[in-house]
Amino acid sequence: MVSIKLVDISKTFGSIEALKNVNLEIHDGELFAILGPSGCGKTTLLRIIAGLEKPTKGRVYFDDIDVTNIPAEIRDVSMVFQFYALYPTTVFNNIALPLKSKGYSKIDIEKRVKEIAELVGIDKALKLHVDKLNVADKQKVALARAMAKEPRVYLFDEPLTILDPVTRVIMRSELKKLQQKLKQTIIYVTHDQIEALTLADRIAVMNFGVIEQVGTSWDVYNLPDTTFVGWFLGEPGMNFIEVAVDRDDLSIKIGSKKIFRDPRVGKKLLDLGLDKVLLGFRAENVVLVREALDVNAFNNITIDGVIRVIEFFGTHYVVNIEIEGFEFKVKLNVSEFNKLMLSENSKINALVKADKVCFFNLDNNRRIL
Amino acid sequence: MSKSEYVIQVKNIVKTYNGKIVLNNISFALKRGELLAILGPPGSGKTTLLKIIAGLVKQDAGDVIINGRIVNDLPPYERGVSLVFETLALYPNMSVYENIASPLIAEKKDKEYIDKRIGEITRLLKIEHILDRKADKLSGGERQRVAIARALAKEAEIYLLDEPLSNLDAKIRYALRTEFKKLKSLLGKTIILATSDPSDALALGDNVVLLFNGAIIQEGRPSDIYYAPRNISIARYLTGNILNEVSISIDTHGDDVSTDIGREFSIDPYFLKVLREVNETSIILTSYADVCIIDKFIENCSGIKVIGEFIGYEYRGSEYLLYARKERRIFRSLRTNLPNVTFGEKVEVCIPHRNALLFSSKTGDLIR
Repeated sequence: MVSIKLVDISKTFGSIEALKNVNLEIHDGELFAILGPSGCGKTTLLRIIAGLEKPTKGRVYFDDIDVTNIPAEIRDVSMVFQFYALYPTTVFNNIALPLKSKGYSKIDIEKRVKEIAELVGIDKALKLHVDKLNVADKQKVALARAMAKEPRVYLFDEPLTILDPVTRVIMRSELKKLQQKLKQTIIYVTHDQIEALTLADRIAVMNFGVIEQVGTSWDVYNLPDTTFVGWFLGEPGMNFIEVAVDRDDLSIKIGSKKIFRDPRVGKKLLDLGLDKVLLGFRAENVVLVREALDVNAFNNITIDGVIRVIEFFGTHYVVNIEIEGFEFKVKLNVSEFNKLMLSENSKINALVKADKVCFFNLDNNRRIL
Repeated sequence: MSKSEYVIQVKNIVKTYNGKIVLNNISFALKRGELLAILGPPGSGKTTLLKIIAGLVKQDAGDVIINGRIVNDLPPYERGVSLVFETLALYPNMSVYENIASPLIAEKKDKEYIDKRIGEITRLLKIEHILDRKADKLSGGERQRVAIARALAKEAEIYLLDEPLSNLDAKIRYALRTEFKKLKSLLGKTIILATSDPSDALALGDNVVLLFNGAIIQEGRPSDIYYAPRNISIARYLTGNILNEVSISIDTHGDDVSTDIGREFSIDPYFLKVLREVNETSIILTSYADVCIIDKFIENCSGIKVIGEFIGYEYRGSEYLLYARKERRIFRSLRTNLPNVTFGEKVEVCIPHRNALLFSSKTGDLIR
């Protein structure tokens, strides 16, 4: 068990800056996901934590002890790239090998292998050759082997990507159960947002070598710190529309159209010296109505636009609406869509609850409200 | 509608390779400005069909008719058709101009023509101000427009696009679909798009033709195909094999009902009546994930209810996809909230009859 602290970590490969001043604290016993698109630096970060890569700048701490210069084998971490890399022998031998190298006695090895195998649910297959196992069981063996190393921290790099969707869901549940039992620190790198949102206690969202946000699944999805996080999470990603504050009545406008009358928001933005900002909201938080909206309501953002494109996705529809040259997406379930009888190039009124919107700084794309 | 009101008609096309039929009696027609998605798994004959329309492969039988004129004997360049094999991914080190010009340079068009054509198309797509910029310096939206401009750079009345969205990052793919659909109506071009991804076909197509093993097995509007797939194989294909399914057997008197997931289930009386009326002894009951319900307790299930084991979920931000298992069947339910259950716990699974699809076990055909 260990807490991990990264302070001002940078890493360059030639002229490429893979990590830029990364600061991160991972709590003891937490399942922490590092999420980002390919090339964002997440694997480099994991390798630095493991000790397989040295940072160009910055320090790595395990429980407040500086381990920056301590080699990987002494850090007591177990890294699982893909569960597949097994020794061509029995399940038992695969799990026993790390124990042997730790100097366990034969009796202790037998006992410990059984314990671990039971924990991951592979105890019935101990005598089998790993070639005889299905993919999920092979991964369980790799996990068991990682556990046999008795590491202070587990580092997983996209371990479930090769699995079929159902096995992936089952393995995620197993992993979550196991982590609750073991209470070990697990750092889990993935490009798959569903994986991170489903599994993690907290997530760090990365882009271009920078950590954009650290938070719970709910936080990063509903209150993104940056427009990148808002865009990257969710399908579709968050809508962003440039809006301005009307200096006369403090309302919020898209182009010339007033969409939000609450003067408190307008005042807050002006007090921050911002008269133009990005309005962000999620496609599923928009309600479409045919009747005219009360534009004076303080608790709603009201937008009347024109439907440009309707896309059918089977379980839902995505309706693209244009207003004053800007566009946003609305996600509707099939019954809602059918009730509204929408068609392309027709007018429609959209409504978003005021507590479901965010405002972002246009210059640095960071959330203000 | 008179013949010439169709921009393109494909009539009874047959193609064999080494005695094997790869296209079997293919017919469809498109009006101006329509987008037809040809959807089928790899190897179903999509690319061969596009090549026949373009004139790159000769059919054994049947006609390709463009603007009312049979073009079977016309060379590709006289058909007014542009076949684009490339994906909509850009060359990152090339400028916007070079990216869009690449298919025209490959065709050995002169500089004057290329400049004029690029001028036209980039004005239309509002990207004329970024021609000198390198592709890797573009914003997401700009990149999409450039990609579409390149796909449509060759002047043609009909565009044939082969898997244009394959090999793209999911986020870019999602955005490109919308952009593509929007610009299609703006440009007023007729497009035939081949894809093996059902979501591309459903989201983009005005109409969809489903091609399996060289034959059209269903065609229609995306929602019509989705809600009334002619065969269970189509329903499975459209959902990426994540359809909820239960096999139900009914004895000849309709008194005894059994399922492939055991005898512990309950059926709503109205639904039982429906099952008896379909006059099949063995039925596969299916539902999509947004219709199926998984919860700790379901009081009123107007369909079939079984007790399963909760095996996990996916949190997608806006919704949860819940998974339950009963015997060898896996059930999925799309919900906006997570029920208060833990992994391995018992849950109730309900497939309501209203939006369920019934298929014959014998033939796989849709019954209702």
